[in-house]
Amino acid sequence: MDRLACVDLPFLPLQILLRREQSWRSCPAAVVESDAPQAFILSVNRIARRLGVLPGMRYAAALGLARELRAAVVSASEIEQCVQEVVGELRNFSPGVEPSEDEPGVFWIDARGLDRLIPSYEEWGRSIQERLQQQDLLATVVVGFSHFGTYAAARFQESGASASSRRGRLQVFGESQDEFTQVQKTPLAQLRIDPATRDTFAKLGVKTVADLLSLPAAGVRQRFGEDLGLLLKLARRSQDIPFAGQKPCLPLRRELLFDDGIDRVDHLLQAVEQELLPLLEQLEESGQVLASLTLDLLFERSEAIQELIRMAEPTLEAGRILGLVFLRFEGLKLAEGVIEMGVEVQGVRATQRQGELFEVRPARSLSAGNRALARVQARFGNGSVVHAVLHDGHLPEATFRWQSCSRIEIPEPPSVRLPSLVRRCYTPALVLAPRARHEPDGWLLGGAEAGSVTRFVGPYILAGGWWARALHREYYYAETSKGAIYWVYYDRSRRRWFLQGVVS
Amino acid sequence: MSPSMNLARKYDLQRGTDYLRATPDSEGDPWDLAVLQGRFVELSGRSECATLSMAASLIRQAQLQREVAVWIGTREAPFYPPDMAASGIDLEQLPVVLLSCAKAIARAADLLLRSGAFALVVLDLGARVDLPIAMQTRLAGLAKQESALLLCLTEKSRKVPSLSSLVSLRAEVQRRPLGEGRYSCEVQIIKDKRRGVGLRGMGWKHSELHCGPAGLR
Repeated sequence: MDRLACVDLPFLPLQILLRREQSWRSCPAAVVESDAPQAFILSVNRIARRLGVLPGMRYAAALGLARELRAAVVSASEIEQCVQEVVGELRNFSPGVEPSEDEPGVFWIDARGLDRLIPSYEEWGRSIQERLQQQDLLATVVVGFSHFGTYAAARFQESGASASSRRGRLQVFGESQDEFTQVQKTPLAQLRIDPATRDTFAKLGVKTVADLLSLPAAGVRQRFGEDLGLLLKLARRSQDIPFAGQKPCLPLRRELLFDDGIDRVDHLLQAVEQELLPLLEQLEESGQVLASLTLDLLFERSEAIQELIRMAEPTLEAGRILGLVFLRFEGLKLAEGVIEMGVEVQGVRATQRQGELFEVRPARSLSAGNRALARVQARFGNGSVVHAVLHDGHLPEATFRWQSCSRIEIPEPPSVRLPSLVRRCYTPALVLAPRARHEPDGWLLGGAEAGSVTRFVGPYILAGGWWARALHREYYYAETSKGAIYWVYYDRSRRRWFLQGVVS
Repeated sequence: MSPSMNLARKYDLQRGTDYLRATPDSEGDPWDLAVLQGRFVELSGRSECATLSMAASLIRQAQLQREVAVWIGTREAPFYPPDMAASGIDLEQLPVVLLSCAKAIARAADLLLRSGAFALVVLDLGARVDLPIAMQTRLAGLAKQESALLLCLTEKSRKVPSLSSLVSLRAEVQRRPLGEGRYSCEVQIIKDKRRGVGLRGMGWKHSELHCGPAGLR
């Protein structure tokens, strides 16, 4: 029969919390549902439980029993991150790893065909526990034959033992009958069953899986729903769920060869940008976001350099990623030109907070926002609350207009490869003082503080309107010695310089 | 004060260790809307600044998280909308309030923050910095209460003091050309009350890559 292992990390949110706050291990500690005094406690450690603090209490009430109680929220994204971390660790033991969708902290590992590679399942299970212990995580490992059987065995405790005393166990079933016998002893209270259903069963004297198996399947399905009907089938071993391992997020890589070698950091950055953007598109298509970026730089004579850049929060925003690459390259001294470069991206599955697929965040009311905008309009006059609408025009002032903003909706921002710098636009354009014939200090466009103009980019000529009022403007970007960039134009018909805006 | 209020305050003190766990290198990236919300932030710069561009970056973050941002500034010198669109911003859902003076800007900010509907309120103050302290106190309190980021853009050098001591985070933005129409915009923190960074301290940095506007790409 095919082998399967269940790895159960009990009270995963509590384990994540105590891993984060190492100093709380010797104190009463709890996970709360929200950051408020009246928040419910979700799980507690042994020290808190001994003091009488139980899940379901409010934090403020619990503080009355344990004055030193430490509590914090463990967010869904932290739990998801930990789950993915554990999946990564478990992949060292089998390519097939299936995290439970309903219960974070429960994993199944496909052990088919491993009996020829490993000395024994006991040693294999022990290695899994040790590996997770290195990550400060406690796990129970059960090697058996079915999803439900291994899961129930992982959850099973001897009667009288408290939940908090559940330490990491290792159990290997030699025969599927042994697994079935163990499963039958498992109390229903230790399985993930709806509490109301569990209480109903308790009133009927149905307390273990063996009691549940004695009930007629059709009746259970009719009274308690399809979910419990499926549970009964799984417990009876008349059906098992096919193994559905999570596909690993394999890194994507691109290699670049430079015939002449690149010894300038800005050219390297451009090369990275060129390769990174298509890789980000591939990640997005496969439902992933970038977690880390590895850059390998190879030289002809010097030793190769590898730079690993990890994102604080996985993202697909190219501007942020390239900003980090730039900061990393900033201090890089290239003794000779780079002849080969490898760009490798490692993705992770996009959670609800990441990537481009976001669920609506709670709490903010659009109607309250619309009412506030209406109040501002009433206070400061019509035309004070607007939004920009773009037009196809030639002159800068004709490329947009301000339109009254009557209501706001959830925004849908477009995707861009790289964000643009934003200019400030003066409407109307500011008239500049005529330029002197001789400028010993250069053209002090923005005053002495901004420095003199050192470079012009342009001209970009806009001409027309000959049928009404002829217009001829020569637009330039004037860069100063202090780095300011002014957006100016020379109006031929008026023979004056104007300041249209500034790049900010 | 009731015992439960005392307990809540104690809990907040215990949580204070979270804020001290600083990640000074940019890979920790505290320049994030989720981290900055509830704060009064001043973003300043002079000649080679990129304040509008970094404000646009935060607006885009808000919009990507399906939150609404609002811009309050002056009619004479607003941002150039085609550049905002090129920065990946949904212009139709970016309400802009165009007013005449700093006091009016502050009053409008008060009304909008109070609604709790906006995750980001940008006050484009420019070179004018005459925002009364009483108004700043009210706005800072509203931002904290509604978990909104109140972002003030000013034109000044880093040596000029902040708008007031109420500013929770003061940063300067500088723009550096990288060639081929690419620019690195760097946010250098001058003051961060939560991380204990002062003028003498080493502030963290955040960097983003931008392309130049049309004509400079």
